[in-house]
Amino acid sequence: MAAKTKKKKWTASRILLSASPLFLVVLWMVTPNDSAFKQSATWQQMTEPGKLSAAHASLEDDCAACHTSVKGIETSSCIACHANNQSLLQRQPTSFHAGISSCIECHREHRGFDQRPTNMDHEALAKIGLRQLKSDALDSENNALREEIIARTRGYAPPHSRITTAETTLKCATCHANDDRHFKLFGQDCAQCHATDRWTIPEYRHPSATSMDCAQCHQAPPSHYMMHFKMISARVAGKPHARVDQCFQCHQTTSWNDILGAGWYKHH
Amino acid sequence: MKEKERLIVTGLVALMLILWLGFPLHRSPRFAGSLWGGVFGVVGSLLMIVPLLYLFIKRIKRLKKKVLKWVSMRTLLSWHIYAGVLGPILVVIHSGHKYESTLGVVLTAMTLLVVVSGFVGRYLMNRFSQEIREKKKILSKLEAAYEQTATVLASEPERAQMLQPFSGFFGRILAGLFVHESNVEPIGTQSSQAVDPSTVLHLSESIADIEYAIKTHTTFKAWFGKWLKFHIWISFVLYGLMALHVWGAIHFGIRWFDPWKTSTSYYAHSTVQGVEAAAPLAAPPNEEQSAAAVDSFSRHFGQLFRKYWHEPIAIHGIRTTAFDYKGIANEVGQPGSDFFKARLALEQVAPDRLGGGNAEKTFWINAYNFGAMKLAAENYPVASITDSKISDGNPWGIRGVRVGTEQYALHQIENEILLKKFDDPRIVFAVSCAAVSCPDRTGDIFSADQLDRQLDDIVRGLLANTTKGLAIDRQLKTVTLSWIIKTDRRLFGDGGDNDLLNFVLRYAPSDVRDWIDANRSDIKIKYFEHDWGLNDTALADEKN
Repeated sequence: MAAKTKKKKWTASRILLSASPLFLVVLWMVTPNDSAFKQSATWQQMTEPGKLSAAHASLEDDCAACHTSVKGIETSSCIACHANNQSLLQRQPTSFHAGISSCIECHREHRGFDQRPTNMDHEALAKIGLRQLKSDALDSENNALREEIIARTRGYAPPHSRITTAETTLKCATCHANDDRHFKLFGQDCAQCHATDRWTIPEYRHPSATSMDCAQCHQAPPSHYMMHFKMISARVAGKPHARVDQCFQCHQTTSWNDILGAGWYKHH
Repeated sequence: MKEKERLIVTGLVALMLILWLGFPLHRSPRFAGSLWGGVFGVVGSLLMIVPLLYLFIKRIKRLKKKVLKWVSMRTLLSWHIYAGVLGPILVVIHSGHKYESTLGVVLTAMTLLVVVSGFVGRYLMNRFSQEIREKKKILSKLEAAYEQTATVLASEPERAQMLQPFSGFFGRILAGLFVHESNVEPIGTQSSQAVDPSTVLHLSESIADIEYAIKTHTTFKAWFGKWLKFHIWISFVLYGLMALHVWGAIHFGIRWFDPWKTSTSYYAHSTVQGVEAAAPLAAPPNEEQSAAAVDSFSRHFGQLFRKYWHEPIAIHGIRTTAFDYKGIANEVGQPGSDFFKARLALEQVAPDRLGGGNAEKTFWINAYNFGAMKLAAENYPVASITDSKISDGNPWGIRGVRVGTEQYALHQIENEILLKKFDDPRIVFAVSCAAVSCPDRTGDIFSADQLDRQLDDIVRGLLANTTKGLAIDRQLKTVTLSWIIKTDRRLFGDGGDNDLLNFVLRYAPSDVRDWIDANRSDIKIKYFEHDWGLNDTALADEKN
């Protein structure tokens, strides 16, 4: 057999294939400079894991506003815009922001345009605090404090299943002191009963509806200590001789306004 | 052995396809970026690189020779197959909890496509070839039987006659219905060899069927013949996308890999006075961190300066270099801009650890100039930094620029730091209030290693400018000097006209110097009015 001459056939696909770089160059040249095709943002957005929230939507085209190459989100990038928020820093429940060193744990982005980038995460807060105590500790005092906290929580079972060990290291009163409905009678260790996702306690059961020790926890409103009590309240309930500390004489456990014998009654 | 492999791989591919469908059942937008998600992703991708080995070893002869001493091609192929299926399974576990980014979706789809194409090529293609081989065997048997029957039939023309009516196209289709085995009695002595004509029909029909089947399979085979090329091509596209994905993950920051996570509360805390922070203060930056911050400040301020610097133009009839303040103002609120980064860097400098000498002198001069520029840019548009929008007349007293944890005023930087620490009258020319009458600048900020030359140049430049630095009237014998020299005359020797002229002579252009030298005794010194107008390119006089 004669040696085959290696002559490639110019099939349509081969022509197309060899012309493709030229095609790309031409395509690049004919597109205007300001077209989306030529913006690095367009290409970077291919990797975007979800839309930014409405508040940050203006940064959609500027990944570098928040992302430092390799290092990712640096707290300083956030602070650049969010420093000096006086009202936030001076309000007791939110003043902890002044000393916090990390934002992304609670302020997650790329979750969609209509998602506010805020999720209070007490666990994250506790961890940031412990981390901070460690990295800030040029003086031994911080380190000792951290060691003590860690030692105290090591092998420490949380008081109930709705709170984590890390969360119990937080001092609730730093942020929540203004709102103690127990008038400090139960102390300041809220975590003994409360969880961090809500104040109500699902396990709580009110004492028996026939219990007569209401005053152990409840206190009558100011009007009950005035003439109003004898003239209106006691009379409406049909209990003219009831004493102020005998709540059970008139009130029922469904609601304070559910008056025995009178039904739902709201005077004011 | 092969049967077992096929069974396992089929199971794995099916698992992969099912895993992908797990998305509606479990969604977790943060899984892929978590530590475990990362472990799945990284291990999966590494496994996905293993199949490349087979590709290269098979095609590079020298390599193949060497490798074959240790492992057989068969073993390599099974590595190729198992790694090529297990990798994608892990990768799908990594990615399958969320499909949001374009790259992610395309990447997952490509992964599935590559695996499925490989699977089809390896196992289904194989099936076709096998099938064709078997069919061909049957076909040759049938053909032999047909030959034999036809020969026998040819010796009995009466029987052959019976098939005559069915030689047409439609007739042939219907022949099976009319020609029955019992139609004709065996005739003659050769009855033992007698052949029923219907057998011929059955045989020919079977042959036709099988030939058709073979043809179909061959077409399929040809169609799939290009699968290997296809498989290789799309897998390279996949590797390309994978590289982009890995780049993206590293570039935008991997969440679980963060060795830089250090406390920055030091800065956050000190932005607000009067609020007690819950957490303890961080230590101030050490020497090294501070030096890095100074570098960063110089770099970004330098870039900002160069970007918006403009060669001399006339503003209010005065020739001056200018800046595009509108451009600078645009950078003020823009995170990531040079202005922003310069500002942030300043906040990370420890003012008491600057190390003295030219380095410290340069830093404070630059910080002053940045501060002045900042006043104008943050309040832009303004006609001057003395604008009422900025202050009620004393912009130098505003603590407008933060270095480390403290807010500094321009006055403080100039008089309490620079002039107190450094005995150098040229400083007052170098610190600029962003005004038209201030000395002209080159496009560069001051740098420590060239500071002396730069300071000389700036004084020389001012005295060469006859609209704001130094003008002489040879008739009236007057020398008009910059207002700056008058204001800070205490810095030039004892502050008398003589010392003042001595300073001027050192830097003035040579012809002026000669003339002043010659007429020194009866020269009268006057001063320019200082124009506080902003040296803003937007304020340039109309060109005629």
